[in-house]
Amino acid sequence: MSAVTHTATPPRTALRGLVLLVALVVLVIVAALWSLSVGAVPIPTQTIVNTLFNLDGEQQTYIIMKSRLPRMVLALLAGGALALSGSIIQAVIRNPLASPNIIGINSGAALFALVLVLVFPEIPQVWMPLAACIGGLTAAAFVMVVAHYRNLSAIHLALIGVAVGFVFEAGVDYLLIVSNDSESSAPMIWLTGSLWGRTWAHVTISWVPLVVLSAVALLLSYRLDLIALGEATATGLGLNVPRQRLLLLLVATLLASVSVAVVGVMGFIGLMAPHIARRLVGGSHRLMLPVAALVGMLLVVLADGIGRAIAPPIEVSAGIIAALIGAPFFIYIMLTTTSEQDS
Amino acid sequence: MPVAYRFALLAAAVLIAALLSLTIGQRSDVGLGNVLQLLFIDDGSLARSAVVDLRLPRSLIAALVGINLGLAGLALQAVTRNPLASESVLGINQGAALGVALGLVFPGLLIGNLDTMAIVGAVVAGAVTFGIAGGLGGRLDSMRLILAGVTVGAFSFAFVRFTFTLEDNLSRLVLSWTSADISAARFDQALPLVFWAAGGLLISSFMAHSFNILALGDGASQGLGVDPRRLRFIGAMLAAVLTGASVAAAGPVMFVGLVIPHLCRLWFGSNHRLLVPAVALGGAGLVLFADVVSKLVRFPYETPLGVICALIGAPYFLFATLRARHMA
Amino acid sequence: MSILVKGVTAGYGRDRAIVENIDLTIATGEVTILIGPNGCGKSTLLKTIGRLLKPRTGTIHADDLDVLRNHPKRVARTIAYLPQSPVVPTAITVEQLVGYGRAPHQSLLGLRSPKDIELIDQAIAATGLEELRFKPVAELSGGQRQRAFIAMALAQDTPYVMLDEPTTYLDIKHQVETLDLVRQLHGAGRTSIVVLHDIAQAARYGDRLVVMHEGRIVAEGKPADVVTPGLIRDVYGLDCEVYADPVSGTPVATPR
Repeated sequence: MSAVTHTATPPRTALRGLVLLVALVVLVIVAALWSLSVGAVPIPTQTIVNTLFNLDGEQQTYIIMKSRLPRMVLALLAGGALALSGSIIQAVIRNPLASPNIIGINSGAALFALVLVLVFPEIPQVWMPLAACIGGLTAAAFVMVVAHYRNLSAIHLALIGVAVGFVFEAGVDYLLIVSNDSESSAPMIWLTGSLWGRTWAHVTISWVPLVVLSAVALLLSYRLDLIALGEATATGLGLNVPRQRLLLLLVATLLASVSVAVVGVMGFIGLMAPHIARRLVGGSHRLMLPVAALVGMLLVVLADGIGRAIAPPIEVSAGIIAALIGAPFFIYIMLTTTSEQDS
Repeated sequence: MPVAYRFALLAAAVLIAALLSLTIGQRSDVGLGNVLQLLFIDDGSLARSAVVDLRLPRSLIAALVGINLGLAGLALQAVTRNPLASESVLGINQGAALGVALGLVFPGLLIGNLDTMAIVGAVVAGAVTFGIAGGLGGRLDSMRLILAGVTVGAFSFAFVRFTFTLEDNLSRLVLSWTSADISAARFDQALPLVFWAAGGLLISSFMAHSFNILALGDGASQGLGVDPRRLRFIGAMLAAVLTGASVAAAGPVMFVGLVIPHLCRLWFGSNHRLLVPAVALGGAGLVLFADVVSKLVRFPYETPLGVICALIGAPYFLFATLRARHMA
Repeated sequence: MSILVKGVTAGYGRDRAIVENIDLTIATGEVTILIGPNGCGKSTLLKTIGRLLKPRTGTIHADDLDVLRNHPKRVARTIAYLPQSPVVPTAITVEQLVGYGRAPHQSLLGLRSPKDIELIDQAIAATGLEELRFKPVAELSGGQRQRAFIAMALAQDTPYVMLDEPTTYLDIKHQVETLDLVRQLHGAGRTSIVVLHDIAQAARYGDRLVVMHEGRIVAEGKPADVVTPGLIRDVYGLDCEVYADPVSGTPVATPR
């Protein structure tokens, strides 16, 4: 009986959640500072602090302010956005293997952004997020429209997303092949999910939408709990499921698309961060979403830092590092959650 | 239409595609009128050399890759009982590509030659996908299978793409190879494929009856003396090996293994004894046709075969998912 | 005060209608049980009342509330609906699941008021889940899970509760437990509408049976009046003898 009575005492979820959030924030700050210090020119922590707060002593204004700080800010923004997007999509599709990548959003965003860069090079880069959003939305809209008219299950919806992703992916391949080598090498790096060469201009064009969308995602967290109960139960609890599903997928699509526009395709963040968060705090999205966002920030900042630190002056894309860390972890998670999650 | 007629029609289509594939190219002195003559009579001309030394190995590779990938897809669809499964959807194609890319970038990692690397990559990717989806047992969940496969595929391709960002010469080599550019193919690349394709055809024919029985479900096939786990293992291995061999020779050609078995099932029904030869013919025909398109689409420039197959196959996959009403 | 179904025709997609021109009144304070052979439309009818399926024609009212026209949240404060084998989300506890029952009464963020907390506690106590309160739902047995979902419907605090085949996949003991709970709901003044497969169980636990066949209602009334050899033959095509259950005295049908 002792095991049973143990579960009858309330775990201190609220306190634990708070402690965890604070710990994650500290971790993110530490990782961010570290990422400022590593790269082709290693910079000691003291110099970083001096530079950031304009204190006396040695400063490295140019490298930090012009190059590493905007990268770090973008890593935080995109990491949080991708994690939120992935969490929403996993809850809506009700499958732990779903992610923005799977639904074709990333490929759609990538294709449209590439069209802008390779086919219309005269259009300024400021329009990249918009182009990416149109691409991401095109992919998502197709999936949603089909789902709406055919009254499809979440599972079938994900499959169509996969197929749409393949179509856009084929378009990306075609564009890369027909454009000549010098044009396509920068997009190639971008496609692997890299923060290389990102500047304040990229922060300027992306921070407002990302912050606003993240806030909306957090506000909708309780709806996600209800959606995760399945269409029938959620309807019984008074939710207009098709409409909410549409709204949530819209938010998730925009979050992922804007991220793709500024940091390229980092497929694994949207898949991994929600899993880690769920393991840490369980399935209540009011706590799980902020935790996932922080985990996403941590992952991207670390991946970017490691990518720069591993073999300077060569940079390995953050997306590749994330995939390298993520793959074994992902396989482990998938093998250990075989039966309970999807039925 | 009787089955024999259907086969005759399919064979005729393959022959026409082969002829077109041999005829079309940048030389204006080769046409439908003289291509057969050039092929069989050695007149010592440059045109003869272009047809025999350049175009013939290329067409041969296209046809053999088509056979291998078609049979691989058929085996995968049979063992998963899922009409949407195929080596590109399950990540096996991409895993083979990763194996080759690793071999090209880190020659120290090379096990044997690139062929073995591709096969090892394909087997590992297949094992991971099947493992995530619930193993070889009957609990294989088709949704999980496809999502796991797509993830494994995306992961593998992320690394392949990463090699693009490395040294220029290497990246150009990897890029032309991952887009399955077979324009520089030679006979020595085509020869091993002949053996793989013949072996694949032989084994598939032997397994056709078991595949028919497995379609009745795990329980029923066990009752009829077919061990579903063993069959699944053999089928998946066959698919991985055939895919690996094709990828090593031509690069990752996507969706052939999905489109051809799917189309053949519409035309020949679900009996694998008919499907095996039909898929082999159809696969050869489709890739030969894609080869023709790859030469024409931006004439006189070539568009790599892999890109053409993806542009044909991806929308077809979308069409197939839209049609599949009762998934999972 | 009742649920009034008038002229409801419903079906899936463009296919043929599954239920046709249904008129049904469900009186308050009773346990109404829908029975009928597979494919007779009993679950479809329940889904339509539960707003899971939009009817092609007809109206549905619960008390004075137009079920089809009002905001779903408003309706969910009047009718609770539990689907057949509901999805069990990962990593949520019994207490969280029961808490979701309060969603129709809460704002966007789902913050709990003192009344919410009180009703959640009551629902957990009524279903005997105190011991399992903080256990993940995914780790419960089938019977315990069903109780947790019923507790969720209880916390919803609605005058009407609808359950679609709540005993499917349960062994006999848990079936009885679940149906006893349904009777308990009735004791607490709720009106329940339940879809069941088993005729004997329906007769034993229902105040009123509604028998459906090929998309229409073919009989309704007290169990003893409805379960007759003639009806079983007409609806199920089975030649049966009907006798009184030695324990409850309600009718039981046994094939000849």
